[in-house]
Amino acid sequence: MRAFLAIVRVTLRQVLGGKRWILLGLLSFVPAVVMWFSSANATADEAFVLYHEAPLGLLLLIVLPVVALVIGAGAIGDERRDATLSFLLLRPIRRATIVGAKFVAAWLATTLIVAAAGGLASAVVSLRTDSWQTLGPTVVALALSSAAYTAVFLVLGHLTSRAVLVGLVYVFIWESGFTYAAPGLANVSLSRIGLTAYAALVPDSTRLLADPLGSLTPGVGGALTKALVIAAACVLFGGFLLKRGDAAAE
Amino acid sequence: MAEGVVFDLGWRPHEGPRLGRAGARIAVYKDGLRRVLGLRRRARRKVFPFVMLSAALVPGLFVVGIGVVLRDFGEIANFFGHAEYFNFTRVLALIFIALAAGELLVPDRVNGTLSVYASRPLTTTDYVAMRAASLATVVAAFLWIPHLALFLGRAWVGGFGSYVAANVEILWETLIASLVYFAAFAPLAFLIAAFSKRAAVAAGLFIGVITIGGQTVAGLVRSGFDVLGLFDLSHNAGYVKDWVLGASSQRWSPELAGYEPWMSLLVIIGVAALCFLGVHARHRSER
Amino acid sequence: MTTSPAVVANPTVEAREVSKWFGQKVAVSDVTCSFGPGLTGLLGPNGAGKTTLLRMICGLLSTSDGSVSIHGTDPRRDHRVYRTVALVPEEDAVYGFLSARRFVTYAADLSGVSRAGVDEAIALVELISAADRPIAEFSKGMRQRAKVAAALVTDPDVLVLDEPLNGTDPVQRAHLIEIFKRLARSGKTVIVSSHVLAEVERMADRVIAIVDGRLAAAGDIHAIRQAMADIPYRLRIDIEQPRRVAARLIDSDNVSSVTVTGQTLRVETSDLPALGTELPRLAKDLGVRLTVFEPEDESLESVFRYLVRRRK
Repeated sequence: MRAFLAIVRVTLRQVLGGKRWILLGLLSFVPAVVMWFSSANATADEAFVLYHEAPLGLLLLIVLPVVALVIGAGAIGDERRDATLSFLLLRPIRRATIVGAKFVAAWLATTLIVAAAGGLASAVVSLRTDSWQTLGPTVVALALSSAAYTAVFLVLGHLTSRAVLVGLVYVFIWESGFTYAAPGLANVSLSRIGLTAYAALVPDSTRLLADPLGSLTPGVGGALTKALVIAAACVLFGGFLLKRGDAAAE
Repeated sequence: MAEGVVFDLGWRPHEGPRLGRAGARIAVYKDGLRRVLGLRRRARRKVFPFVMLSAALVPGLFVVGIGVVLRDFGEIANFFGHAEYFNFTRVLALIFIALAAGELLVPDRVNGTLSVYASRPLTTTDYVAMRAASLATVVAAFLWIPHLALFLGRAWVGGFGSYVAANVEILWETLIASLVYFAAFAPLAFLIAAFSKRAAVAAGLFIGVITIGGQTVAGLVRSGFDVLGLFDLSHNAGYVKDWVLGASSQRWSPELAGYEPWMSLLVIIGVAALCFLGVHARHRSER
Repeated sequence: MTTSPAVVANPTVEAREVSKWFGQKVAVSDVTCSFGPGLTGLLGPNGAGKTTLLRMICGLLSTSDGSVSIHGTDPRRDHRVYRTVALVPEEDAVYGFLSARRFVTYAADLSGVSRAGVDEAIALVELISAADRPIAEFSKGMRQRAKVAAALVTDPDVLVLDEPLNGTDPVQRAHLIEIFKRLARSGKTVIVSSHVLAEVERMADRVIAIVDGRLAAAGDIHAIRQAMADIPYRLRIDIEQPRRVAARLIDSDNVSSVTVTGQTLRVETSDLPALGTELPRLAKDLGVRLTVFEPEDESLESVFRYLVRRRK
């Protein structure tokens, strides 16, 4: 446990170090700004609809994946490129534990940034609608999708130095393109995990999110299970890669 | 009597031609091309650029194929003309520029090799300009070659000579439009790369700025904040592209906000100039 | 296993017929050697395969053929063996954003050892005054010492050091060598890979030489030199009336060449002991005084050069 927490602590410093977190944070708060200005003269109902048209989609489809990609891909990828991976591997710690700690740190860092942003955007619509029904569900949705994205990008960052490229193609062509063009593909979309949880927690939003949800059934349990299964599978696979692979200095 | 000679194999000064500043510039330009295209590097460094180019070519070749089978481009031209093709390839170009800008600028700064350039007859302006030129060449080719393929496919179906004679302006219009996209995206990618220690992080941040910024502006313009219409860099490029091609492929944020295309072009040029100054200042301080 | 200077009686670390190839490139080829308590120097020219061998020993690289073990266990199969192993790698494998103290504390936390030894490890490498500065601000020598401290804090049984003296000044180098020797004397297995041959000669009890990925020599330095029967010894002899002595030595079957420079003779011989017996007798016969008689190529550097030349 001590080693696990030590890895989490140092990884948090690593991924949030320098000016990176400031820029990511600034980008993440844009949806809240959009919400504020676009709902300035809107009624409560209009503000509610606006929130589901722009800021929520922006958060789940663009902000979260980009933040998760930068942070997740760097959690192990940067250690490999800086040749510090051997420092971790030469310890009496299971490989899956190392990957698990890296995942927890990357997930915490990503969720911290996007959930704060989502919380703020949601607070804006709450002020406009006098109802705080979206705040908790927004944070839950972002946390769940963040777990899935971070886990996948963590393993991707270890597998290839081109993780950002592959991640960007996945986000902008697969998630934002194919899975919308073919609703049947919604099942394999990581951003939909959070969306199904959100729709279950905010029943009023289901009609507004019918298109992105496609054939998916809203449900928190299902979303949580999916996120946990993806995270667990990625952590175990990452541990397998660390155990079997060669830690050659790059 | 047998003859013999002893050769002095010690150090010799360079006795070949000295190409001076022009030669140094060309060397930086060629090096930039090689980095972006993965030439003279391992095979896997070539995969990304050539896969992206292939992905950009596929829709055009598909449309040409349909046109060849049907012996008519009529309806397809309305559905998938040159203007619409740019709307597809710009996403790929965005990703390409995001990664290439980092590859061109980050390694020299992080590895400390900028001082090697500084010891040559090369100014900071030369270095930055030649890096930009190499990226411009590849991006323009990346965006333009699919249009060339589409143009030639149509020419083949529609009677080569007559089609080319009637539509030759499409070639230089699409080339200009390709350069407009480069000018709209690459300077900002360079600016972010100039301040990043990792190319991958720079790419992610650049994509984030373009996409989040674009969506934000679009949303605000729809809400009535017309004054922000010119801040969507992606839509500025598309608006100018439609203007150059004489088309109207979609409603762009500056257009919705009531701005003329030349204003978008001015913004593109202005942002490019500011980014160039920022990159220049950064590299000057790092040499 | 037959007895060979490359293997020790009670090994802590063993490499058995180990090979490693990366595609077409063979980095290490059929190396069998072992390491026990004491200090062993691992030598070889650049690209010889030393780092590859060390990384395989530590389990960071898989073997393409053969096997490695630490305390009888394959490190790639059982991570618990890392409780007793520490590596100081050649590359700059440090977290620049951590201070030296935090870096060494991190090492202690990861290895599950008490943090009480952190300050002691830092003091041992003389980094106390800079302990709270970020490592990114350190010189190369200071980074090396920080890495050594991070290795020492875990009190390992096996300490593997890949070029640990890189970037250190002579005073720091002497201090680090003293630390390594002290650890070796206390029963630890210390393996040092280095190009600084003079220092390895000073600290190592035995050497293992790798050239072109193959085991080129192993054992005591002087014994290795004696085993090179095909390469004549070069001796420096300071003696009165050197030309008279030279004329007599030329006649000897034990001498292959003689060079006279002032009062000094440089003699090549294939039979050092025989010449060592013959020369004093000769000096007595001629009534001349012999002041210096020393081999010029028994140093590690000379042995190393011969080994590399033989492989080529």
